Amino acid sequence: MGSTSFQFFGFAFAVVLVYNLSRSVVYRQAVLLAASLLFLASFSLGPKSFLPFAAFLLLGYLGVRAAPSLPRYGFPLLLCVTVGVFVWLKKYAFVPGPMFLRFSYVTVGLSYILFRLLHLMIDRRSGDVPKGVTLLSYLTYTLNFTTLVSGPIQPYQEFEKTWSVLPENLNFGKVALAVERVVTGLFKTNVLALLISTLQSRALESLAAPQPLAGRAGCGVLALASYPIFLYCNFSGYIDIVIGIAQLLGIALPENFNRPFSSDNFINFWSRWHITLSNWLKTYVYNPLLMTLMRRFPSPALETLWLAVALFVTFFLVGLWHGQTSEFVFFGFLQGFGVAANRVYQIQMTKLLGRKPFQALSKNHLYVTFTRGFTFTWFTFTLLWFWSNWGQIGWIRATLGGAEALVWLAIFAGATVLLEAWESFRASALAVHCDGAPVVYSMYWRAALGTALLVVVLAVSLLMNQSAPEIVYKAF
Amino acid sequence: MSDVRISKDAGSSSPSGFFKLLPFANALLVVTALYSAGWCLFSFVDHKPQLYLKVVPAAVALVAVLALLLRPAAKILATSVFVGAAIGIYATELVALGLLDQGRSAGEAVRSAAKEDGVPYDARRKIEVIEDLRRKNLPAYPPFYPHLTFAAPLQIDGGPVIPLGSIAHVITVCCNEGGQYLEYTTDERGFANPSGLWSQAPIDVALVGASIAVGECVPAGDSIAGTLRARYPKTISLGGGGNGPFLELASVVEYLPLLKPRRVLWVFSESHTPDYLDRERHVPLLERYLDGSFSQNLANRQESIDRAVGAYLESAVQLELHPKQISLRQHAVDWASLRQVRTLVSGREVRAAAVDRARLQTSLYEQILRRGKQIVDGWGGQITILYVPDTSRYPGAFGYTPALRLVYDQTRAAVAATAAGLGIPVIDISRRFPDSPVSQASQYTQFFYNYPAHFKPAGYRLMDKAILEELQ
Repeated sequence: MGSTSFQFFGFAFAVVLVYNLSRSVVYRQAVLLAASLLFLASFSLGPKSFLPFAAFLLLGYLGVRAAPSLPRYGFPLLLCVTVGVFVWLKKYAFVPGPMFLRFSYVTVGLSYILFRLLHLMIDRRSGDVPKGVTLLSYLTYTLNFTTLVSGPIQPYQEFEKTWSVLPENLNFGKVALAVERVVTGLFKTNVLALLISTLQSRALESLAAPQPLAGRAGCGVLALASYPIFLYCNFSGYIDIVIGIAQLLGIALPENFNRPFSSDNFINFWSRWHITLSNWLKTYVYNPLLMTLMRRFPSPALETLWLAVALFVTFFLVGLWHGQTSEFVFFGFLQGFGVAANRVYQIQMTKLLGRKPFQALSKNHLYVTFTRGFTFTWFTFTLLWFWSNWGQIGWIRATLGGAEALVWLAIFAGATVLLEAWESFRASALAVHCDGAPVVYSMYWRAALGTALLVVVLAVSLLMNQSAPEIVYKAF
Repeated sequence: MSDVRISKDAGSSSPSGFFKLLPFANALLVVTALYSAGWCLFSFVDHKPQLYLKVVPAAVALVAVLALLLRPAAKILATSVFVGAAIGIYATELVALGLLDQGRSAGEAVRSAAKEDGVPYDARRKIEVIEDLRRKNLPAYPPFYPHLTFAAPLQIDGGPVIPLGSIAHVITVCCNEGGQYLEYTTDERGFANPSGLWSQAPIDVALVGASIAVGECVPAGDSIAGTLRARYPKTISLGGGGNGPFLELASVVEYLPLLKPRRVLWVFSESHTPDYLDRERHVPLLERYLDGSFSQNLANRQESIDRAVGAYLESAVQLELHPKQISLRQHAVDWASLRQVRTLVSGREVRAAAVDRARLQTSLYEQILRRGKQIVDGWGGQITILYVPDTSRYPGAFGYTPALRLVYDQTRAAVAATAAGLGIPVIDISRRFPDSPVSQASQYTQFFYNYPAHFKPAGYRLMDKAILEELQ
């Protein structure tokens, strides 16, 4: 059941109705678990296909229970076993083929379940999750159908807050906000992402046809620069949908995006893009690694190096998490390199100019405009290894030939101008006030916009029979 | 979205800055109510068959009137929804312009199928293939579809005529459904046969029917006539794309007495024949074929037909080569009149009406068959109906719906009963393809494409095998 399909919305609507029949916590947990199991069953390849998935969940539960009392060396072993089983089930390329199970089995959302399990184990041991985790809580948390497929990665403590306060009844305002969020998400996934992916595939096709330098450059710009926007619409649209549905269940899911293309540097970008993944890695990889390095090798002269190393390793892992091919390894390298280089640049510039002048420079409008364009261009460049492979990259480079430099220059210039135009437009729109608040936040404006988006979504899906592109992050 | 919030006027009845919009809201609601009511009235007066053309405007008018009675905040909110809906509809027009390209989508589907089937894909458009052939000084044309002349029959020797064949001895560039174009050279009377068969009466087998009888769109060796010729060399096809029972009867009347075939395979396409019959029954010239003495004398007018069809096809080629440029004003008018949206809605109506179109008018079909049999009996020939299924009959295959399946089963039974009543045997191909639950739909990929098209070569081969078995 695709998260952007009408089947899914029918299912979610039914769950919302049943769920809100009672305010009893046990009832709601039971309904959520039943709905999550039903949702999971929609991916069934037969009863046997759930066995590895169930075994992984059981291993996780036993691990979470045992985590607080394991001996010092037992706990890292537990984490390694959990990651090892995950790697084995996900059939990572470096695991010898004969070791794999020889039947088809369900792995939907396994990557996100891994994040939740590791977080639970570590936080149970550290005491950040003080209470014992019941089986019902564990299963509703790990299998929650709104976050199962592609996140967001919600901390257990936040998820538990759903049950710790008396649930409020839904009212018109809450439903309107949730529906607005779902419609916005649907517009992104079913209309914008579809339009942009169509644009990209047409640009790639046109690139294959013989044409003059300017034509090739134009097609190259469209083919390369459209992908980050597609990915944003595809993933953030999905997140909007699940956040909206979760709101109708009284579950406050964390935000995963915060206008990432407004970022004026790559570190800032990763604090606005796939936020829950970045936060998870910051908490469980970056911070411990940096602390370990600084404790082991305490020297002020090495601080910059350790910062860069910790950032590089963290964001290298981001790339590696997406896949095991050499393309994803290189994608991870570019993410790690981008973030580490960004940090080194900031430190060096601070040393060179002084803290206050550099801060002033960082806020300079022109500087921000250019760095914003550069951040987008760098991300676009790194994504090449995300959506294509070495062969395709070679073909694109060979096809662009002399136009390659022109293409990247055009992407940078275009991104700089267009993002600045967007920021100005946004600021102007927010400056128009009525009754002390921006007009665009008024219920009238939002009702008009929401209706317009809904009409387009329905027309594209029902009249044009166009299917939304698959959620890219479903594959991870 | 993190900073999303509803401003303080939400749900409040206290005076708000937005209340300045009240006159505009009132005016808009009045205009909406009047316009929708007018639209609804027009739909009634004009006897529009679609219920939604009456119900939807009536409902909108009613909602607009009720909204006028609401308190200010709710009235402005209702107006916002109306404005949003209008913006959404016009935005849909733009999205459709960016997203929809039927020719391109079809091309992509063919490219993908060709890749799967290991067939090299010819990316050229039909007109480009014709141009390439003409550059080599070869006479190339698109296929001639008689039904396209119904509205304005060609003028031959001073009178209206509906020819059945194309120009004689030219290359016809027909269609590309599996990766390669079907190209054939027409025979002496403009049909898809090798030359020389017309002088060999009595012939073994004659095929009459629509595109399936032509062999669209498989290599000539896989077509029905192509396969039959291996066993029955004197096999001829009088098929024409889009032909229905009346045009098929016309083929029988005009040409078969010259050929005196021992067997006549009369193709019945379960998805198209009923629809085409409905289209043809309103053509006076074709209706006259039920009259025992009527003929257009086409067999003796090939030179005139060549000239008339040649001019007709050439004008189509030139129009394709030099399409009329659409002016900016026309674009604006199209957008303002929601051309794309209206096309989409009517396309949906057409799909919804597929079940109705698939219903056979049995008594008319019987009259046509009876007249055809009378003619063929004249030289001791025998008619056999070739019942060809549609992919949409099989669960999981392209276009399948249970409602269509039900109608097809009724059609099959009606054809069988009609044929039995006239003593005409039926070769039922629909029972030759596997008919399995939707879970086993993948087996159809060897026979059918996953888009509107004829059979794949394997589908034709299965049909050819069945025909050969029955003919023996």
